[in-house]
Amino acid sequence: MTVEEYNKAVDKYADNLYRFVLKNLKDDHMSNDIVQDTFEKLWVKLENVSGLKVKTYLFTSAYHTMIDYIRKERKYSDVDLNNAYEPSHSAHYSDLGEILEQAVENLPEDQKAVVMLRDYEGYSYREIAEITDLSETQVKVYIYRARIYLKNYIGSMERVI
Amino acid sequence: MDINRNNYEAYLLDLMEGRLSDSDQQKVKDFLILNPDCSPPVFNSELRVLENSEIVYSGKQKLKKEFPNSDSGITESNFDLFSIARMEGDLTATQERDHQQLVEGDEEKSVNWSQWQHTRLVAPNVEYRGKSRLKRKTGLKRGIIWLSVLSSAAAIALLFTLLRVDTNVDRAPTVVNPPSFEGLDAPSSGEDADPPMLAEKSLAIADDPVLFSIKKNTDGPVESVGKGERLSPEVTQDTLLPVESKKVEPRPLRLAANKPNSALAVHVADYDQIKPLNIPPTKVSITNLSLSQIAEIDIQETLDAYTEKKDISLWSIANAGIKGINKITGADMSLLAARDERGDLSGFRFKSKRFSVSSPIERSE
Repeated sequence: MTVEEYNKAVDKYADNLYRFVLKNLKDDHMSNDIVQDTFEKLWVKLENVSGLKVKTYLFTSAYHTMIDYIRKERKYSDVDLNNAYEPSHSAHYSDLGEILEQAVENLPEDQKAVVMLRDYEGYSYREIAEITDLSETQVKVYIYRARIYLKNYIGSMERVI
Repeated sequence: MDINRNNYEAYLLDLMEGRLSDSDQQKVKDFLILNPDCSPPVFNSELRVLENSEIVYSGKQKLKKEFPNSDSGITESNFDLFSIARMEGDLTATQERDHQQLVEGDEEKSVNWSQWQHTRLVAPNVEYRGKSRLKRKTGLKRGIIWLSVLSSAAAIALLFTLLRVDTNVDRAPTVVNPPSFEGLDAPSSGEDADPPMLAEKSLAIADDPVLFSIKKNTDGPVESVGKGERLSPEVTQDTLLPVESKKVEPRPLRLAANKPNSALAVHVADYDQIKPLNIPPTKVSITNLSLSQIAEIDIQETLDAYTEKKDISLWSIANAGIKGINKITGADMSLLAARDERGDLSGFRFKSKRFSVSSPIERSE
């Protein structure tokens, strides 16, 4: 990969990468750090990364950095994960988009990341498996479970509204 | 087999699980007759083992999850899985048509399908504002490095040309009109008088015996100053000795670059003549770039990429190279150009603390 290709990759993928990390973490500062760190890693391995694989490389690197961060943060926080997965009927929503966004927030991290890679970036099961280090079947299961949860969440909130 | 009251339990277990031969089974039974208190309460010579039960869980089919494949048919029970599969684009055209028919024929399924479709995330427009910081300008940096290499190479090449001595040339020098030097590092007027230009490429100057003035220094090394250069205050006239021209033997200045076994010879003044120093062979490495790589560089193309001054000359590159060498080594060298009436380059003058050399440019029509 050449320097020109690297700079083109910044133009082409920095927004997507930032969106992916930001939507997962909801932390602008940390998302910035991860994007910078990811491109720094790409720069170090510039000659080993093919121009065709650069997007996958970026998302793979960012995903693992992000997951490591989440696990480290979770270790030090007292979040009640059992309640986090349940729909919150006390929240106020104005439209379906907000409901969906809240539903996505409640997804487990692995499901959330997989669905975002699928919907935001349009990756195939195989590509997502490559990025997340999961098997294709696992990816498929996570997407199916996430869809079922999102649909149930939307359905329950629609009834409330 | 030696059954006794200390080990009879092991033999009983073997008997129950059928691991004893007929004779050993008989020995165990004989032992139990003789020792009735060792007989287990439930033991009645029949093996007691748990039988496999035939209990069947009736809800197995409901637990099964099967992702639709190309052979799967849509049913009431797998409608949701088919809906997800349709969203993900996993269905064949036939399966998708079947699913659509089912949706259109059932209002509840239609609502259901609509909800499934709402689970697809819509990518928001998010702009990362730090892109400019992520970008690298190493191309320019590399270009500058290449330019520096080129400059140094050009400077060395010019020096080599200037200092090359042709011993077959007639030694009688012809003094030509001293040209004016207008190099980029030209000295201030009056401080440094330019030596006369010689019409041959030789360091030997017969008619001018004071090409090099030698300062006697009993303690330190001998120092030479070029003609016209300002002498330091401690140098008095009586410490200066004229150099006899006949003893001055021109010697070629050899430059070694990446050649193992080549010596770098330099000239120094030694009272009345110039001798080469015996410096052990030293490898001179310009950069880690191979000479073949340097040779492949298109100079003009490289320059065009990094300067808008398209007509930049080899002279400018050489001068930049010498500046660079000065900066790196702390030397005080300069390269001056002489121009004729038409403004064309007519000669060079290389000047350093140790010596000063001039040479005209031979132009072929």
